[in-house]
Amino acid sequence: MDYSQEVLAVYESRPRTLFFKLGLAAIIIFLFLWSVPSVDGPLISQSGLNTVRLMFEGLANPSWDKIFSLKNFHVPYLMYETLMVAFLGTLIGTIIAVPLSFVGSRNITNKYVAFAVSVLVVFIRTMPFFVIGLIFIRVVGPGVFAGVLAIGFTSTGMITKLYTETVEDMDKGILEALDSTGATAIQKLRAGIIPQLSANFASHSLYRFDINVRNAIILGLISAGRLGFDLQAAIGNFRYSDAAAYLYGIIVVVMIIEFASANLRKKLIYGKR
Amino acid sequence: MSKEKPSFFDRTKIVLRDTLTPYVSKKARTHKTDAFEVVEPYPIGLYVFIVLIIVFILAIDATNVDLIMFFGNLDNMWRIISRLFNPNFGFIGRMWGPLIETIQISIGSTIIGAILAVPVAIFSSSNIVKKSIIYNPVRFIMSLIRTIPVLVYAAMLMFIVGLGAMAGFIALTIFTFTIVAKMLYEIIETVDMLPYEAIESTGANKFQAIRTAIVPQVLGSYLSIVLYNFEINIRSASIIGFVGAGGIGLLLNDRISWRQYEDVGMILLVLFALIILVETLSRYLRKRLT
Repeated sequence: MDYSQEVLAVYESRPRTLFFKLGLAAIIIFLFLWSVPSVDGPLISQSGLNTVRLMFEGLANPSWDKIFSLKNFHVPYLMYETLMVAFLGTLIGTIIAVPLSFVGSRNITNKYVAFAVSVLVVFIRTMPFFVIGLIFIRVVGPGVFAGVLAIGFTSTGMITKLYTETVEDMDKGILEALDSTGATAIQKLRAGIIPQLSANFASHSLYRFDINVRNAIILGLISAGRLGFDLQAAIGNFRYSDAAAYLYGIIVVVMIIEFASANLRKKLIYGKR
Repeated sequence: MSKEKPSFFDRTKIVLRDTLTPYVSKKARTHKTDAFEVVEPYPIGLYVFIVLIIVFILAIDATNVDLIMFFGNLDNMWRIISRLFNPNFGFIGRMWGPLIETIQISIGSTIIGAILAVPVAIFSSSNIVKKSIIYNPVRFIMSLIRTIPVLVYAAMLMFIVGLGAMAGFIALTIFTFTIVAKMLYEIIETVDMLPYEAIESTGANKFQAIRTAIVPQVLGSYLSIVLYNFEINIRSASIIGFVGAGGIGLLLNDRISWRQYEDVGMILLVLFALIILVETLSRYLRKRLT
């Protein structure tokens, strides 16, 4: 077979990435082998298999009376409570984040203040939120309210970061144009700033609400919320039918919230109503 | 001739009028010049605001908000925070074991989860598997698995594989698996399909076509997704110990329940450094990759 000279020339000068690939593979294999010793002990024991079987039996027939009863402390009520915790936490985060993001934007304040705010944001974001939850439990006692405060505190970090990016992208020319028409401060706010930022702000808050619903569930594992607490108690006491009821509640609600929030955010950003 | 400045009352009235009239009259939403006429879309801001207020009241009712207790115990919180900011550097000797275990859990679970995710991602991308009867169920099952938080998996796995790192390892693997599969199929669906079709037309089978036409296009994004997941996993691995599934969370939980906030401060400081280090490294590598 004879190839044309140009094809051969291109083929000869193909990028040589063999060493890069081998090196990458070696690093990955090394890291993997290094991390294996952390998992010691037998993977599957007889009692473990038994537990798996019981769990699947529980998943197959959940306690239907818990799923469909509207009484206090049954699944619909717990899901409602979780959503309310997430809502209130997101609201607290948003209310704190709005002024903080204006203070933290480099195009509004000077860069030292902006740097201080960004350090604060990084600090809040790296704190594990279970630690924050436990601190708030020490302050207000175990319960849903501690979860609200913890979620509000942790949300502030991410919401401020996202809001700051939005504010830094803001078009300031509109404000100058409004200035030239003699608009007052309130009118500038209403016609120049709110229309520019509200859609993005709402979208970021919705995104965080989506995350907060999951966080509100797992904060219950440290008794700062009722759903996670009951779920853990059900698993711990081998009441797998009840645990399955809670899990089905979580699956349905989280899926609905995820779907609704994704669609709403798409509408907010692309402006279809 | 200088006009007198309108009073505060008048100005408030003007603002309220400008804000509220578009809700009731179409005329206020119509802007007319000689050349054109524009009708603003119907505003929904007020309704959103009313709904938010109602939900807010319901939420206050449902979550036992007790601001008096909160502000009454605020000095307690300041005491804890001031102790947190006064880390006990002598504690660092006891931390290395759990810290390394945390890193090991997150690396191992990221690698296994990321490798398992590849075939699933291929089966759930609509441009390679062209039958919606295959990719829709796969996607649905993956999003079903994804809805359960990773700590709930860890709490359940503890009763299967026992206390310790294994439960956290498997939980994080499940989590990485689902997230990487989702992000990867979204990337695969945006690739240029012409090379793939060209290679299929030479008689190559599907596997060969994917290897030569799809893999080079998505490899960089795939590695960057994996690194991003590693960032998430290192955070999750540090709290997974709170339910007893290994890592530094176990120690953190223990120190908090003994109210040794100086030790907690030290752990938080080291975790802070670790997370910043991992994030910086992964941002750098991801920038190089794309």
